[in-house]
Amino acid sequence: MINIAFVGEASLIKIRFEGEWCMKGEVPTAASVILDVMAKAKSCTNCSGVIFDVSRLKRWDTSFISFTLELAKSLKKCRLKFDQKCLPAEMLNIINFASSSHPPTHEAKGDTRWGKFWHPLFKQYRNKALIFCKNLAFIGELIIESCRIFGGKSKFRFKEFWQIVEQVGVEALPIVALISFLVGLILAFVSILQLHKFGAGVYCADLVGISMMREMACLMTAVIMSGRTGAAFAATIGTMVVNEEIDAMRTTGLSCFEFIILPRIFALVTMMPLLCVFSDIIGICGGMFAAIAMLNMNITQYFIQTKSAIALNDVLCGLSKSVVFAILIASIGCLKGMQCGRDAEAVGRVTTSAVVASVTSIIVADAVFALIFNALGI
Amino acid sequence: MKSPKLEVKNLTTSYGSYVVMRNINFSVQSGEIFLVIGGSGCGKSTLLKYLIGLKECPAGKIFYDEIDVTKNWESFCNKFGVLYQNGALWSSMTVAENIALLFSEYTELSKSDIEGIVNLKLSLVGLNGFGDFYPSQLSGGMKKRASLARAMALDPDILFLDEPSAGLDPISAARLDDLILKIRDTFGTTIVSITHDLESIFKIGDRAIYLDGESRSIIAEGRPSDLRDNSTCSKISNFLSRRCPDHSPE
Repeated sequence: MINIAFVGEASLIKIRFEGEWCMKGEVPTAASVILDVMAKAKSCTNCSGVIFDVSRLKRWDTSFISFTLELAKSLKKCRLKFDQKCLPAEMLNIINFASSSHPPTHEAKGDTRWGKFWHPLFKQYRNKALIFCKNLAFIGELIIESCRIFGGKSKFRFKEFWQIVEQVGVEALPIVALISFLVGLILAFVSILQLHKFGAGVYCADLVGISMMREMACLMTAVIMSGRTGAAFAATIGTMVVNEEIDAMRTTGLSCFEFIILPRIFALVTMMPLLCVFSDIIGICGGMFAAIAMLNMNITQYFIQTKSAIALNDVLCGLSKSVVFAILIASIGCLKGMQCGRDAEAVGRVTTSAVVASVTSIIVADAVFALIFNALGI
Repeated sequence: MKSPKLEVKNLTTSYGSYVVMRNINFSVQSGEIFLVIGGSGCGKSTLLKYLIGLKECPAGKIFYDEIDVTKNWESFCNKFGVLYQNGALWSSMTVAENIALLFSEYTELSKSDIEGIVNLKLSLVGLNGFGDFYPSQLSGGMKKRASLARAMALDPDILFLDEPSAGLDPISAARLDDLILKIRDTFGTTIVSITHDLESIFKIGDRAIYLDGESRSIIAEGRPSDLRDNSTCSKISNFLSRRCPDHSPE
């Protein structure tokens, strides 16, 4: 508890503090005390300044120092004196120590008159344009480095490639299987409910087969890969940036594309079509499970129906999409990772950004594929 | 007079959109241990990024053996080694693989020869027998030593050290200083080190520059002991004597 009293009506306002001024206790807000002091100072004619009486102040902490400094600042603005000598010696030491630390005196690059005008105005747009240019540079470098590998001018890192193949392919099988089975099951369930009304329940096999082959298998696999592999790429590379591993690679003259990026892209491009085929088969099995349970169809009937419905074109459509989706997911994951900042939070940011960008680009690419296939009559 | 191994002319360094240092000029002689010292945040590590080509120079030039490398870093990359503050070992590889990778990239040595040299380098830094460990299995000091082994893998002409003794216990730091001196004496390696460690400064430093964050320039250059004893600038003598500036009331 603190008591504040204004004593003395002379040219110096004396403020007497009694009790304890600690942030964990009951203290008045600094702003309200400062307002009172300033009002008192203005009401006094011939007031030249303020002095503290801290003889009865039993305890104080940094909140009292902060209040004192704020008050001193306000008094200085009104050209009133504040005599620091009245403060306890320990407090003066702390105040002097804190005031010996100077804020940084940075000089902005564009500190010219025009620079000061344009800089804030176009900073945002300039940053966006820079990011766009960096993305373009990444794509360009990716194409050049890929060509160098195919042209035999740089080594293909098989060791890294096989490690990543295992991570993105084999280890992803259970989740792809589960999702694909459920998607096939749901598609069959919904279609059976509707088609059965017209006595056409058997055609659920056609619907599941075509949907899985053309759309659902590659799309669901791509979404799973975005969340699993794309995010992992971004997080891994982002952490490497934070740990200066990428810097170490650059300064030793090793190519980040050769060691880090291309093995990842090639691994995903290799595994995605395989995962897509796996997803096709499991999805059809999911549909079959629903058909057997709801329509009393047998396995042979279901497969014959599915076989008659799907064509090679449907399979190839799905596979070609999966290759493009793989390139998008891996490239975006690696690009976002390389653009990571230097702190742990930045890794989280690029990981989220990689997933969002991958999923969005997959959907856009799928729409473009739909238009192209429609135009080509496939 | 011999031509300098490394020469920096009128270099301006920046961090983001802020200019950190202006018109930096210094040169490092061959076989010299050259220290970059200064207060925290004055731009020492930023300067290092320019010296090792991680940042493009907006103004000024950097010469290695009188060759301007400002726009031609690729040809120079494997001629210097860098010890990063946190080690920066490649986490997906073992310690031995971290070092061996450089040999397989830049030499025609056989696998068994590479293995022999890697073991030798690891013995030099006191990590004999740790070749099969992954960086995550090493302590901070061990990571740093492994990183030094990688930095000096190809016996580079110049070794850049970013706060080599930071985070090390006094004995490990002293051992690292001895190792740095041995590397210089044995291989004639030119060493540029950024450091705050006063013991290290006086033990290994042949010459030092003091970067001042306020004036954004080099305010002193010379032997560390001369800078401490003869400098008229209180900032430098305070820094090198580990003395707090006076906090007289305003």
